[in-house]
Amino acid sequence: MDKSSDNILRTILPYTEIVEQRELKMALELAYIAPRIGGVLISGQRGTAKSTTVRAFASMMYDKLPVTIPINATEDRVVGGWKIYKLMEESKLEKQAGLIEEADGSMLYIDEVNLLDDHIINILLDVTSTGKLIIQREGRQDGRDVHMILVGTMNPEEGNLRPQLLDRFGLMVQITSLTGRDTRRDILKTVLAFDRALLEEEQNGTSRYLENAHKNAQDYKAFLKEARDRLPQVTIPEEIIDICAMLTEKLEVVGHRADYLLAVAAQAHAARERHMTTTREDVLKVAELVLRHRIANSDQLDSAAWNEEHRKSIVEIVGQVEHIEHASK
Amino acid sequence: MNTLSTLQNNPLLMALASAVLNPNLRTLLIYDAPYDGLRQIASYLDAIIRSLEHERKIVTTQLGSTEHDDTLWGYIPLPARGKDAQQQIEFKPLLFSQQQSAAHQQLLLIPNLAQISLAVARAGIMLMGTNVAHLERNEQSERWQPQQYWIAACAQDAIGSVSSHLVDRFVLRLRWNDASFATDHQTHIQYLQQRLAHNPSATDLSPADLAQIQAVVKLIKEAQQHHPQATPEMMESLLDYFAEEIPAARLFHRHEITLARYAVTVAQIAGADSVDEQHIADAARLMGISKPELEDDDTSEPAIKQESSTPAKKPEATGENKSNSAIQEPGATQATREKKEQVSAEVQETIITPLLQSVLAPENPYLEESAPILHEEDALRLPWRHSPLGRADHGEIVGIEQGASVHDIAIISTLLHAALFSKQRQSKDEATENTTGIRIRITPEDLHHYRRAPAPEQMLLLLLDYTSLKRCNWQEALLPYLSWAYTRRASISIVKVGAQDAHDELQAEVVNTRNVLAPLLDRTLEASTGRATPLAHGMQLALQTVQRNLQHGRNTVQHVQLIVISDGRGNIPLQASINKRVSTPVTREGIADALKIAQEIRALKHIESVLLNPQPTHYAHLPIALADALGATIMPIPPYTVEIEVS
Repeated sequence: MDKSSDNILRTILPYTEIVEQRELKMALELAYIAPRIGGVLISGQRGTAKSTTVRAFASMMYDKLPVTIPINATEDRVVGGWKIYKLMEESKLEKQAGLIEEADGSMLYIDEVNLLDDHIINILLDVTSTGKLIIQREGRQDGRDVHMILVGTMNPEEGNLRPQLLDRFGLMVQITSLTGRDTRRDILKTVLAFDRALLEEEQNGTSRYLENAHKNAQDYKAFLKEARDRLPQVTIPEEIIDICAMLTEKLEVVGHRADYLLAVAAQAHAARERHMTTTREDVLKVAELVLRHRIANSDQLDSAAWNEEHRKSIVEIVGQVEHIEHASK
Repeated sequence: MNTLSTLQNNPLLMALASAVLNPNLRTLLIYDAPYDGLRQIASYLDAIIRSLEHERKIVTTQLGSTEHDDTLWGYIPLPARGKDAQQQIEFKPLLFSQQQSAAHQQLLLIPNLAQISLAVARAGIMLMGTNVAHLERNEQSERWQPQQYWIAACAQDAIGSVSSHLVDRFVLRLRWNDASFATDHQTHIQYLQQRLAHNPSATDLSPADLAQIQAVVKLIKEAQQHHPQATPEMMESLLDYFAEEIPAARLFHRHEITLARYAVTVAQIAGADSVDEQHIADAARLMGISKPELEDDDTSEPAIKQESSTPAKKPEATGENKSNSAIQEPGATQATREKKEQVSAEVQETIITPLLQSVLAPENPYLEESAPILHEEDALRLPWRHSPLGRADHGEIVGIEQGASVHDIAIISTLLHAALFSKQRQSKDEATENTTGIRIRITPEDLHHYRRAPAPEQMLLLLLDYTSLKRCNWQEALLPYLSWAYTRRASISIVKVGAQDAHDELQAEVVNTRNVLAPLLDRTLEASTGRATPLAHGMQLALQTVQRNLQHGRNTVQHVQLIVISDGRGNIPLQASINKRVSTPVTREGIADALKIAQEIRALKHIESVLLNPQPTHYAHLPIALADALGATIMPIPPYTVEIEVS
């Protein structure tokens, strides 16, 4: 890791110190435990620590900043191209990996994903829907499999995402400012403590706060790795598959991936809870994350599209399946 | 007043000192600041940083409406010829890059936030309020900590034109106090004399300012060695400055965090060991944040005591300190606060320089929360292209993209792309030829063309005589034309005649909106009826608007649809509107002037006029005469239908 990246990493608030944001944290963790989920879209008003949480998570899990596509990235950097100096000065064709390739096996982060150029979005759609990066530009004809967790953050004030891209994110989190005096006080306490810890470290070379935070983060990282390793052994009973199918039928979700993702996310949740069997409770915990952006007429701009009625329906449907099963027994 | 007291009482000085001390406080927005004032503030900050030996040199760059991605983030220059021909071909980093960030400190100065280019706005979103910046362009991959200073100005009434997402990135807000608008003549004269003496057009600072800076730098140096502790009590007290029971959508953690960080720097500068309530009160006052009014606070004990418990280096209990600490009474009414601020201002007036005097804490720092939205939907997105006529080469250039067409070709980008492969594409003969210069072969895959913001090619010009709208259903009659404007993505101009909110009732006014979706359009159509009808002036403005849009410069409008809603009863002669004074008894002169100008409009090409006739009971011939003069089609506006239910 180069020195500048190292310097930047130390300015990222440690993941375990982030106040609340339980749903956001859970979504990122589930996507890590079960990469088949595909990715997480985080939509929220300004100043809700969306980017901070994503960077903190990547710093903890991969010991580096997430591979990031900024909104003004050019195509050559996204898909890859040639090394310009070698090409022009030495007339040698030497490949330069793009960001998608760099993110293989880890996380690809798009800050302000709804401000990204349409053309770049099309490229991402191709890659995420097929799992293959095909480069056919400037005389390059390459292809390779890529597996990554796609994470996007957006402020819905600046417009929504195309439904095709929306569907590529397995989970969606909608966050608002945290209310409640105690929580707000905790946020201030954390921010000021971290500011001070950075100063201490700069002056003394060490900070007890940061040492503790990093130790907590390492412990938590080990916990998540363990959950990821546990995942293949976690079973999904028939009744859970029934529930997933019924939920997507009754809620009239858009697309054909919701039932599958629901089962995978529930399985990941079980692994995170150190369980070996996926339960109804796991489905209930992840249903909103999977279905929120897939219900008919849903819109990232309109948080009211997903409402209390939907939540009630989920609880009722899960209960109904239980009732049917009990009746059949 | 000693320097510490001056700092503690001056919002600009404290904002600049805090920005130096804490990189999280380096984005400053000053409402209504004139260009000269902004330049002087930049000079002030520059002088502070130059005086701090260990700080790197600061380079100021002005950002406006012309910058695009390549000029902000860097590009690959064309290969040089002649003696520099051997120069290496590599990415040339510009304003925002790891190299620039490492080389010196940067101050980005934005004279008008409402007029910046899309590229600058998007760069602001990417760079302000974040601890990591990314550059992924033209084979370059960089990441660095952006710790630039951003100082911007914006008119208070234009804040709605800027995406609130962008405005929110400016954590500190101040207000320019332009005494030239003072209603008191004596104050105005004093201010003018000060300005003339100070030569505000120069960026050089006055000797008084320079002396002040040296004293401030001394305090900053001391503060850099001092780090006060934030206490739980302090955080509890800080939350009192923000309403408790507000919905999550209106709660912004950034505001609370900024006040906390600002209070820390205030305590740091004061040399305190811990941040106390007094520092929070000082910070809030300097930021323009006041506690939300309590419903029943008469008997409640003030949460903040008048005397601070801390600072070892707290200024001596001088008169100004007493007045200063008294300001922080939490239960103080608005009137009391204003009176005390006045006292404080009087104390400052004798000591601080005109520049410092010109910048105050705003009454409401977060104007974007209540300002009407004047910008378009999705203001930070790259524009979609939707030109059915295929004339996309007119709009403002907002970027470059690859494409197989030679239409609206971006020559430099195309050449650059071809140049990359020039050696690869050379034939054997060409490679062995001993020629000078570079031979570039362009193939279709090299072609790049401009990405342009859509430019309106149609225009809806609406002349609305508000005094003729009673008793007719004009909104319904107008609707088909607004629908037309929407489908054609037409720009819209409205000539307001006889509106109650006119700056001068003897004059008409023009309001321009980018398209039919602009919120400003609704507000304009809903204006109330005034007393006078300066129809002739309205026709004059309509004529000028058409001429400007069809005939001047690089305007893209090809066709104007003029809609006039008027009963033709103009009662203000054109000359009276120009002079803003009615000198003779009002006769038919206003009507005659209007008809005369209408004939001039008729003579123009590429304009189609329609008069929506309100069908007045009296002088019913006047709208018909106006339509004749305009050469307009007449469409009657139906009266309101009132349904009476008989039981």
